[in-house]
Amino acid sequence: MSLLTVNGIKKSFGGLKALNDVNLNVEEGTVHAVIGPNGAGKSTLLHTFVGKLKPDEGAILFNGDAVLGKDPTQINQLGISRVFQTPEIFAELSMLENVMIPALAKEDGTFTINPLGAAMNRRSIRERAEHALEDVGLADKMHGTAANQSRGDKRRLELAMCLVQNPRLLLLDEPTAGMSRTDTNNTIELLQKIHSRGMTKVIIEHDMHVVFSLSTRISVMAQGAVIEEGTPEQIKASARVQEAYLAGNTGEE
Amino acid sequence: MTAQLSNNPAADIDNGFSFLGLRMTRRDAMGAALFAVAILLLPLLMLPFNGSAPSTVYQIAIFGIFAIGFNILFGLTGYLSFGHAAFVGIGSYAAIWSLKLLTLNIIPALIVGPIAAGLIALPIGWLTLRRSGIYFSILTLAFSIMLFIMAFSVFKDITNGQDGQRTSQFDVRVIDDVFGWNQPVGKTRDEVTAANAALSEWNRELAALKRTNPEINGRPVDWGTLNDFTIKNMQEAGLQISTRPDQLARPSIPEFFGTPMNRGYTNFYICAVVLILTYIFATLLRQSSFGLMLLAVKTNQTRMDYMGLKPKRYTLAAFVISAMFAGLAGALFVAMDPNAPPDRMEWTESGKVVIMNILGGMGSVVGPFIGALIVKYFGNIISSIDVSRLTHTIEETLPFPAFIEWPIAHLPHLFVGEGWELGMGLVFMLMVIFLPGGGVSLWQRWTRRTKRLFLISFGLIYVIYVIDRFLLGNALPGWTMFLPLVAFVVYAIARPILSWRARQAAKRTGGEDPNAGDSAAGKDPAPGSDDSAVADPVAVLTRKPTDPSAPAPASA
Repeated sequence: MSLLTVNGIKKSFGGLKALNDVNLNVEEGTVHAVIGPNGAGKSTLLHTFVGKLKPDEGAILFNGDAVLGKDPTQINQLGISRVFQTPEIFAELSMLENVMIPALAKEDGTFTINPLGAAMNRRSIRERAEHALEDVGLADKMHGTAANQSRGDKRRLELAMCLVQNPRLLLLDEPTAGMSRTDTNNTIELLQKIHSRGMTKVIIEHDMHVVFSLSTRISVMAQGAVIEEGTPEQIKASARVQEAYLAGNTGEE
Repeated sequence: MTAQLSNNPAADIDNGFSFLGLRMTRRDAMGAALFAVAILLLPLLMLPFNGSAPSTVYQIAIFGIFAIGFNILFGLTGYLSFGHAAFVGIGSYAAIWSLKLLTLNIIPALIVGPIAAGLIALPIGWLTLRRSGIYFSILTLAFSIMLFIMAFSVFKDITNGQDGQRTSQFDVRVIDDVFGWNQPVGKTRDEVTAANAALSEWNRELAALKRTNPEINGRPVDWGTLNDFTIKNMQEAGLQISTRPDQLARPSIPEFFGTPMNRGYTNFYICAVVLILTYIFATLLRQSSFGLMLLAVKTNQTRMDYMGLKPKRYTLAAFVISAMFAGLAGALFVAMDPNAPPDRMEWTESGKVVIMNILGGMGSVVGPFIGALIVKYFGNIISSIDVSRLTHTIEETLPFPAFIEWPIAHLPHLFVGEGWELGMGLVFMLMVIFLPGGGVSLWQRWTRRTKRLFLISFGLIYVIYVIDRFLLGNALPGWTMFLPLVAFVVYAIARPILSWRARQAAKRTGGEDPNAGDSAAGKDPAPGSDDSAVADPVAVLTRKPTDPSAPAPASA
């Protein structure tokens, strides 16, 4: 069953056609990677999923609901969570509080006034946040201030903030960009662990090593359009993809 | 790992304090209890500082409420409003009309004031919160000035312009009349009703006469000075007006279930109870999930959008709640002194509450109150110091020639007495430059030893005061009791400078830092890292919401 359907999305910035008739189907339970050279329109496409950009034409359906015309808040409430490339965290708050905020958003909705009940007293919320932090390996740093953490830990926190909402669709924007090889491998391991839960994911990534270790399906973008789609094996074998992007480098050397 | 566990706020709340279903961490509950005791003893605590007059302490309490409420917006969400005094004014006018139209009892006034302020804050907040940062500040400033000017023009009938609205015995007061409250002493309800009827009949007669624009000896009648003598003059001039019927004088002083609000410390204790409740509310709000959202607004609003939250609504709620506390403060002003002047809405008053928040330390609950205490103390006490006498004393005591003595002796003129605002400004400037976190952050920076020294020197003030007053019969000059505090201030300033110089010297010689194990006073130890709540009760009050390193009390 198709969870996210993208039909003929077009988006221009002035004369530049960033997205030119993009079609995409993300099946439930898959890890769908979107790859492509710089400027292929991957990030633009992701922005349209979360409501940051409004495409000029086309339609996006999530689980049968129209995504276009909704603001980021509403889209998140539908069950789409986005992991930011540069960590967007609440720097002054503790790690636990950082994760409790999205957990509360999931539980209480977009806006609730309850100025008299202690947040830390919401046992279910707290436990969910603690579990999310454990999942990404931050259990021992729970009470540290987010701003004081290392860059890698901030990205794990960022991931925990999305996981705690238990979204139906998780969007990852270059989860390993700028990471060392060790950190990259750790992240891959982490994401593989999460995948065992069957959460649908869309990953935008440059690093082929990451893409081929994680994804079950790959779409290749070039110049604002999807030029090839298939399983990792099909993509590796595709001559068009080799020519347009991979240039022989499959990350398997 | 044990230390990690004791730092766990989550564990903290589990064995925390619960009352009526409201839960606080043990630390916050201790803080609230300490605060309550300090407030109830405030008139006593202010005795050595010559600031225990009822009018001073009740103003401190009311401004404390205003400042603590303002902190919910400014300290938690980071939105700096320059227009909150407008809501104090609105609360004042709503409360005075409650006293005039409903009842002299202050309880309805204290309910109506915040509600009116909140209702007006809602559209203003909705508009101004479309912008953040300096634009938000300017928009709120514009709105408050607009409301201030409207108080003089459009709403003059409601506000009575510059003179301000007052209660009087002729007010309608529906609830009072129905239940027979606040009627003249020793009169039955029927007598009062008859007298009121006669009076309103006479008022109608007067109004009819006014409409004819009568003249006496070719000059229009001056209705402003209407008294028995002028009425007699009008009758002699042949105008159709009967003698004013005797009125049964109704009270016009607000009361609290029979206690009139004109006895100094009764007033203060009403304000004190409201202040303590405000403190508890602010503490609960800060640790609630709502408070967490407000802190999130301060740090990263964009992220909240992508989490399915509406940060604007949280900010608007904070705006309205803080405006309601401003309205409550305004209503309390009126309940204490039944007069609502427009001065309370002036934008300088908005500036004052910002200064209070920054001085005391925004973000913490007790900080704004400390700021209010400092500002009001300066306002009421320092401004009333007799500077000429001070100058005279200095000139008498100093042995220098006149041209040196004169500038020294006249220096206080600039900063105390009438120049108190300059003194206040100087303190504010120094504070912002050297202590951006306010008074509370000063406390957090001190080492345990410095804190103890501060508490001891502060306590010595009271010891000296008591000895002087009860054993020596006020024989010591007033300044002696402040010597320990002065000594402490000298120590607190000199200590970091000396240790810094020692470190510099050590660096130059390449040796070991002589103060390495000493974590020199005021320099750089992590906030609150070296104290425990039991040994250090004030830390309980001054903990910032986002200070995860603050220790939990040594719990079982």
